[in-house]
Amino acid sequence: MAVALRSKLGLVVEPVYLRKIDRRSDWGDASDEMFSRASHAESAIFSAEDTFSLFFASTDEELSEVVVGMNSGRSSPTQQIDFVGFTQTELDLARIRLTGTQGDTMCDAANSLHVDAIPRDGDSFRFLCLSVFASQREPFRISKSEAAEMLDDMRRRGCKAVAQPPSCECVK
Amino acid sequence: MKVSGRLDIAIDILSQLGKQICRYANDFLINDITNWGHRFPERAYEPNDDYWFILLRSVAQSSASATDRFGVVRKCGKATSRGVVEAVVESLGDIASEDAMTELKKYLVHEDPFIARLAASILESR
Repeated sequence: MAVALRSKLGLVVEPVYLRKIDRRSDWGDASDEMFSRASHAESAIFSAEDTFSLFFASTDEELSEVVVGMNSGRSSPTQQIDFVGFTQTELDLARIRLTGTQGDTMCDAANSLHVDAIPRDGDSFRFLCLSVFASQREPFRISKSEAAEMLDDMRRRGCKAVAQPPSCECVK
Repeated sequence: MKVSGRLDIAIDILSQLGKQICRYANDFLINDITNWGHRFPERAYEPNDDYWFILLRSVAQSSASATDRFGVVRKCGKATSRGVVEAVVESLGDIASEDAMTELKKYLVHEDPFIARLAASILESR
C-alpha cells in the first residue's frame, strides 16, 4: 500500500509544495512563541537567499517520486526525510512566485515536479511561516520503512534513480 | 538557490569513518567540557547545534558497534540546548538498539514539548 500523502498532511486537501527540512527543530514547535518561532524558521530554512527549491506533490505517487529522487544522492536510498508542505494559497498570500525548473535529482519524474520559489518582498518567508503556523500544520516525516516501501514501488515502475531500466515508466 | 540537505551530506560522509568518528566525538566532547568548564568558565556556553547534530548522527549511523555509538550519544543527553538534545534523540533512533530504545523512552517526558513529541514520533515509527 502506498504511503498516503493525505494522511501525512492532516486536514489539507489541496496539493502541496514540499520543502525538505534538515532538522525538525528548524521549524520550531507549536509550544514556541509564534513570532520568535517564525524568525527562527525563516533563518534556518530560507536564509537570506533569493530563491529556494520546492517539489509539487498532489498524489501518493508524486510523493514517492520526490522522496526517491531526494534520496538518490544519499549514502542510503532509504533515509528518513522531514518535509513541510505549503499550499498554493499560502504561497500566494506570502507573495512568493513559483517558476517551474528542472530539479537535479536522479529521478526524472521528481525533477519535473521541481519549482523555484522567489519571494517578492523581504517579509515573504516570515509571512509564509506564520500562515502555516496558523493552520496548525506541522512537518511530517517519511520514515526509513516508508522510504523503503517507496523505493520498492519506484523500482517496480522502472525508475532510473534506483535501477538501470530500458525505459523509465514514471516520467509523464 | 537555497537547497536543503547540507547537513545530510556531511553526515553521509562522516559516518563512513566508522570507529574513527566515535573516537573523534569522544575526544571532542572531552575538549569541549575542558574548554568551557575550565578555560573559559566566565563565558556563556553556546554550542553550535549544527555541529553537534552532524557529529552525533554521524556517530549513530557509522559502522562502529552499537555499544560504542550508544556510549558517545548518551554522554550528550544532559545538554540544555534544544538542538543538541534533538541530535541525541534522533541519534538514539538511528542506533535503534535495545539500550538506545530504552534511553529514548526517557525523553517522552522531557520538559521541552518539542523533544517529547520528537521522541514519541520516533518510537511510533518503529
